Order: sequence, then C-alpha cells, then structure tokens
Amino acid sequence: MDAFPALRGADRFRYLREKAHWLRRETLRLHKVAPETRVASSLSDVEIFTALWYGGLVAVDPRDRFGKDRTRFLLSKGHGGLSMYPILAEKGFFPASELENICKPGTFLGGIPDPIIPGFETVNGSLGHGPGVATGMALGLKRRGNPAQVVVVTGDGELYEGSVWEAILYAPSQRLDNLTFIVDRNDTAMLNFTEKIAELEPLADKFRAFRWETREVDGHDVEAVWNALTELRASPSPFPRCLIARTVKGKGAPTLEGNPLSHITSLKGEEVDRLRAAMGERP
Amino acid sequence: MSAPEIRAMREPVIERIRERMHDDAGVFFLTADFGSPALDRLRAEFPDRFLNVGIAEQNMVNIATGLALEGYKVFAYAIAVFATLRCYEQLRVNLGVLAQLRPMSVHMIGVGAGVSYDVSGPTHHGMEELAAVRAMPRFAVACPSDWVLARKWVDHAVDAGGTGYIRLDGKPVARLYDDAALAAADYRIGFHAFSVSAPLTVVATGFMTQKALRLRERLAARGVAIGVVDVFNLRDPDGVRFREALHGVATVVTLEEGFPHRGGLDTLVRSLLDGAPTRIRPRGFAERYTFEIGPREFLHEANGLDEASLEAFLLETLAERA
Repeated sequence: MDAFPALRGADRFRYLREKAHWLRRETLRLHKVAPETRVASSLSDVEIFTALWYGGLVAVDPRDRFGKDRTRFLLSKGHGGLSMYPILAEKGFFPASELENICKPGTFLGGIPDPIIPGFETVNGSLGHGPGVATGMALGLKRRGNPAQVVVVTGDGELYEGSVWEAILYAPSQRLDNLTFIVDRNDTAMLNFTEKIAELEPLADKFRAFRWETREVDGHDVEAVWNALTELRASPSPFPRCLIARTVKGKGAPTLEGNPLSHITSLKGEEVDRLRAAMGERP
Repeated sequence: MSAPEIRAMREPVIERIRERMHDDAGVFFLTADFGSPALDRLRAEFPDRFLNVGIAEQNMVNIATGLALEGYKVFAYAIAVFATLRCYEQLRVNLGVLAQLRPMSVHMIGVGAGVSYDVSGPTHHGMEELAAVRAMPRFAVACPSDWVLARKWVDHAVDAGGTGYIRLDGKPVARLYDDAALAAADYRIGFHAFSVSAPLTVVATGFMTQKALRLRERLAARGVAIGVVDVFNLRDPDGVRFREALHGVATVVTLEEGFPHRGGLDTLVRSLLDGAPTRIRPRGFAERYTFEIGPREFLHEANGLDEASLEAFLLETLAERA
C-alpha cells in the first residue's frame, strides 16, 4: 500500500512530489464536484498533508482508526479539509466512490469535516480548538507512557483566536515533545492578507519566544516539509515542535493566488478543467 | 432537632473526587487556578493527575477534551461563570458536538452559583450560566441544593461518564437531605419533593431551596402550609414523575437565583408541566445586573427575594386563589 518506507533517497521525494501533484489535481476535481468547498485553503495545505500521510509521519490504521498506537492527527483548519478526502479514500478509510457525493444529501463528506468522516479525530473548522485539544491528547499520552505522536494543523487566520495562544503558552510548560504544531502560513484570512489585518510576523520568533522548537520552510516544497518535520521529530528538544509552512493560498490556481478574497472564491468548472489539463497527469 | 451540618459544597465534592482517584487511575483533575483546602490535599496525593492550567478556561476545556479522548475521566474546576460562559464555545464544540460522536467523560465544576460571590459584583454572579448550559443537548446540568447531594453527583459523573456541569454554591450551606432522602435522590429522577401542598408548592433549585425550606417554616409558624420541591437535575428530570408529584397543585412558585423567563428553572418547570392546569409564578432576580454591595441577603432584598418579601408574595399568591 504505502510505497514510501521501501524507497530511498531521491526516489522518496519523487514519490512524494507525484503524490502531491495527484492530490492537487484531485482537490481541484473535487471542488468541481462540490463548488461550495473552500478550495483556496485546501490547495495551500496539499504538500503538508502529503508529507505527513505519504511520508510515514502520520500512521493511522483505517481498520483500527482509534487504535492506541495511531498518530493523533488533528486538522484544526477544517475548512482546508477537501484535500484530506482523497488521501483518506485512497488509504481505505471510506470507499473512493463517496468522493463523488461531497456536500450532497446523505453523505458524510461535508464542506467542513467532522468526525462522522472516518479518519478525522475531532470537530474542526470552528477555530481555536485543535491546538488545545492536541495539547490535552499529548499530555494524556505522556502521562500514560504512550509514545504516539500528536500533530495539529492550523491556518494562520486561526492564530487570531486567543484560545490558540493559551495552548501555545501552555504546551511548552508541560514539555510536550510529542506534539507538533503545523501552521499553514498562506498569509491570508477570510477577507484580507493577515499582515493587513493584524501583523502575525515575526511569527517564528513568537513561537520561539514561547520555547517551541521551530522551523520555517517553503510549504509547497514537499521534500523540505518532510525533512523539516523529520528533523523536528528527531530533535532532542524537550519542548513541543512547530513548523511554519510558508504557502500560497490557492496554490496552483492563478485566479486565487494573491487574491485577498481567495478564501471565499470558488472556481468555475471550466477553470478547474483547464487547470487540471495544464497540470498533466504527472508533475 | 439538632442544627444541620454546614459545609462549603466544594470541600466534600473534591474530597469525593480524591477518593475516587484512589480507586480509579483514570480520574484527572484540572483547575483554572482556582483552589480549596480539599484541593491542596488532592494535588499532593495525585501530582500526576492534577494540573493547574492557569486562568485560561478555554484552554482548560480543550485540554480536558484531549485528556478525555485519551480515556481520562476529567473534572475541570473554576468559578461558575468562567467555567461556563467564558468558554462556552469550547463547551459547545467539544463537550457538546464532539462528545456526541466520541464518548468522553468531562464534567465542569463551577463554584459561585447565583449571587453567592455577593460582594464581587455582577462579573462574578452566576445569573445566566445555568440557562446557557441548558441550551445544549445531551449536556448534564446539576444544581444541588446542599453539600451531600453535591457530593453524590461526583459518583454519578464518574460512573455515568458523558459531559456536564455541576453548579456549586460559593458559600457554606446547610445539609437539607437526610440519609433516606439522599439515598432516594437519583440524578435520573432529578428532583426531590420535601413536601407537596395542593394550594401552593415552591419549586426551587440550589440555594433557593434552602430559602424555600426556611419560608416553609416561617409560614408554618403562622399556620400556613406550602410545599417545597427541589430540582437538582436542570437538564432532564423525569417529567412523568414530576407531573405525578405535583398533580393537583394549584400554584407552583419557582424560585431561582437567576433571571426568570430566560431559560432557567422556570422555563424547565413550564415545559415539565406543559398541559397541566397548574398556575406557574416565577420568582428570580430583576431584569438587571445587581451592582449593590452587601451580603447575599442584602442583594436578595434589592431584588425582592429576601425572606420577608417572599413570605408576603407567597401569602398574596395564596390569597389570590382563595
């Protein structure tokens, strides 16, 4: 099933790039199936999800999805969840045919994912919950001596929620080295660029000041994302880890990239077809 | 009759949690920097299952959720208004929405029901939080009127799991439930009839049940009988039993430290007695925040809830029907 562990060197990253390419094309295709989905947010997190789920950094058995050894993966930015659906279908959490029903009556695949979808741990999309819940899970695992990892992905607009900072303040004090916080730093909230709303920068310095072991990478370079996450996991730091993935909201769709309103912009079906055709089958 | 034993509810509640922690390694205690003498002992005995998360109630609920998803049975403790209203969105998303999909055991403990933090002013008066948490489906709401009943709820919470809120008084209160009444008190039934009087029965919750029983004594001294029913499950008391208990009662006066007509006790009683011929007269705080400074009874007086005013009100209400 999962080819990554058997691959070595450049082959690994070729594999991850192919997966990311596939995932971006699938995300676009599914947006055509359900135009009410937040495509721009879902295009910025493609390489993050690919590195995690195809790079061996998130391990969840679809036949035992709450097994105690699983990686706890929390998608706090639930609105970017469209690009998780093809991964979960491909890994066997639900039949791939369900993807054609996104947002249609009777499906469990909504515009913002909830744990009625196999593969999702928590309620997402209401912002400001994931980091604190992940902190509690990481704490619970530590207290029980369970070595499983907790990974939480937020957007950057979500960083305006005060509860996120309560968790950022608290997790280091508990030395939760089993917790990884990934920020999909696509510079854009719902109505504008973050730096025009209230400056988040210097963001990495903020995490470091709170004692998080922090890296910043190009969030669309899947190799760099994988390397940074792997390095963070191997770090001897007793503190929780943070990866700031510098991304582009709407990556791969020129009408969305650089558009301050990309969050609430949908792509027309013909535009999706054109983009997918231009991308080709392979990267 | 010997004087009833008076205790602050939180002490026996936390003592009972500590006892349960001894036989259940899954019980975990969080506080938002809020203490008690009993908590000092709990913290010393269970440093691995006690955390002070700081004055950060949102984070406390999120952390409680994470711990509960890892199998812990969590109690999260703070001042009543902050344990509920300060973090209502966290309660709703995690202990409401998520808890419907993933089994978990998280119980909020709020201290400072009604105006029990009298001189702290309206920021610390628990006036709306009961109605607010009642709005959530599946979320247990306990409002005990004395400390033995409050303590008993700990066992219900640990054994039944789920999510909920227990509202504790901030001041020491008298024991109202004798051993037999306590043994019979069942959270699923959710109320206890100290007495029922057909012309008029007071249905109260929390501290106001203490007051209702004092009113019953005052009126008895004048040869006037009233009934007193204590509701301690504010979410879903047994409606059939409740209607049976109050069958034939002409007037029910509801008494609560909260705003009437806003979703609290009177709203619950109305829904329970829907279709019954019983007249319902709600009494609670006036439609404003109370800035007056003084002890609880002084604040009650400012809102027409002192014993003398209530006694007069009950007599008038009885006379209306006569």
